Amino acid sequence: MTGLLLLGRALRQGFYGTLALLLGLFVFELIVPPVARDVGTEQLDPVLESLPPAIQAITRSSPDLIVGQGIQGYLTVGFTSPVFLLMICAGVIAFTSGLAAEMERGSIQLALSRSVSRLTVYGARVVGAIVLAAAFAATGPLGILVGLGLIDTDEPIDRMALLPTAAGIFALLLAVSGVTLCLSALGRASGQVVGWSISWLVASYFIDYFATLWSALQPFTPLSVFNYFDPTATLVRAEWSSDNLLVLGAIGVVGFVAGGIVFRLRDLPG
Amino acid sequence: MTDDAVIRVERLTRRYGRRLAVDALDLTVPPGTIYGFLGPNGAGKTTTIRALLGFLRPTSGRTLIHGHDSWRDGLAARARLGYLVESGALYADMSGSAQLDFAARLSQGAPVLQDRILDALELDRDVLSRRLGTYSKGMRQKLALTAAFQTDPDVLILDEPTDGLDPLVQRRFEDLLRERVAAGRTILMSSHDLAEVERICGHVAIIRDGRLVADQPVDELIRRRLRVAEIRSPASLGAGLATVPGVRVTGSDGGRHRITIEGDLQPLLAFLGQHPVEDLIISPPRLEDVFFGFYGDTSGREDPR
Repeated sequence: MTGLLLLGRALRQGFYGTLALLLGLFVFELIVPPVARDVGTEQLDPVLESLPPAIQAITRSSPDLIVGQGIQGYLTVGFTSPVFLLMICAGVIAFTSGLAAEMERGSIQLALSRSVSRLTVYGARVVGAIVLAAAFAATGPLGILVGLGLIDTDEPIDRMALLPTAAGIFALLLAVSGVTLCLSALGRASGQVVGWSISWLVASYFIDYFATLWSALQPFTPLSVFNYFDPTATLVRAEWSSDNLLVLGAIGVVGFVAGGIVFRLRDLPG
Repeated sequence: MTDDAVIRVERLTRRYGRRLAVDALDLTVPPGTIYGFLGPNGAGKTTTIRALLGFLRPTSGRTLIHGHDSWRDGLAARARLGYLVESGALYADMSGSAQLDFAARLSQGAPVLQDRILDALELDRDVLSRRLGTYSKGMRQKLALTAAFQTDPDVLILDEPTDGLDPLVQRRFEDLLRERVAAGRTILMSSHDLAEVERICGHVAIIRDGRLVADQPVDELIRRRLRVAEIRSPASLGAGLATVPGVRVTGSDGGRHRITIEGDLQPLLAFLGQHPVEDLIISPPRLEDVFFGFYGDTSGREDPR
């Protein structure tokens, strides 16, 4: 019961901000199918192919997979855009850095000065992070689904491909949540944790980005979390990439467990 | 050391890097007492309290509440504990009543004393429906106190409990503390208000540089410490006064001499009997004098009354 009470409190903090992000994400995805239809994939294909490699890399667009796939191919833009990544990562980072915010403000003492274990407090954050990751993972594909419902097209679109896409987003967010919660358990202030987490994601993004332009960076791509997130392939081929899901899931689990151990043993900041 | 101690600190040592915050501290708080815990900032009070709450791990030694180790067996140690959190730690986005409900549910106890505390602290029920972000510092402190007391915990740890309360409410709060102790509860409180500690605490511990320098009933501590006196005399008494056993001259200003007296008054009275004296004011010893005596600050101060 105490765990549920703490989970409810954690989720209510920043609730409206999270809701706004989810709504924004839904609308962002919702407009992808109408835009792809209205602009016309025949017009978009040559534009995409003519993009310089640097732009292709930073937008994570893959002409070899998208071109010729019609609307189905352009739906991937909704999941590879930096705006999308920013929105989903901001949502879970804000929540998972909340543990450090509670330590910083001292609010965590309300629970920990009573007969509530640190693992209960931490566990509530883990469950909350998983719930939020699921919410963000579901919202994007849901927006696409509703957007597809709004357009009138004869093209065959594999809506079931959105399921492995959602799974990939969920796994990515699990990894981001796990690492950020671990940093939160280590940190003293939420600003510090947000800074560390964003730095890690930006570094990951740029390793992934520059590796496509500079082959010397290729050996380092396994270090990037985005190396294991490929919604384009997933959505176009409608395939479950179990390797990517496993790696991202493992990063998340290791982060959650390591954070739990740290939080159990650390001194609370005074 | 009594076996029925509610709070016990055993050889508690805590280092922060190379800095020694608490050094082999021993404390025993018996049941049914208000135990004052005094020391200036940095003396080790907060570190000791945080160790008691299980917020930090001792470098060595241990702290126990009802016989349960605060670090190793924290859930049992805190099972019947009330702690006054800093008012800034309350959730600003919650209403006062939601905050109290949240705290009571975390304590897993019914808020049986909530009305009694709200009345004593004069916190209007109407205010409770407002978000904490709109509260003044004093109102937040009252709410934090209510949250700490409302489930009638056996043990209360209060850090600066009257900070932000107006004097009238402070007195009502002191009555409340006495009432809880009469009901068998045990209270450990730290305060910078030495007069307040003197009024309400039965026992006091003074900590300096992480070490315990006094741990006695307040009356006993005061009795064996210094009295402060002022003598007005047309004669020059300074040099002679300094030779009287137990007397120390802390200041002379023309015919006014300020002294401290330790122990028996007879030698001083005998000395004054041989000299013309216009006035003699002996102030009863106070906790403040005792405290500053331990901190070696008495000589620099004017008569504190």
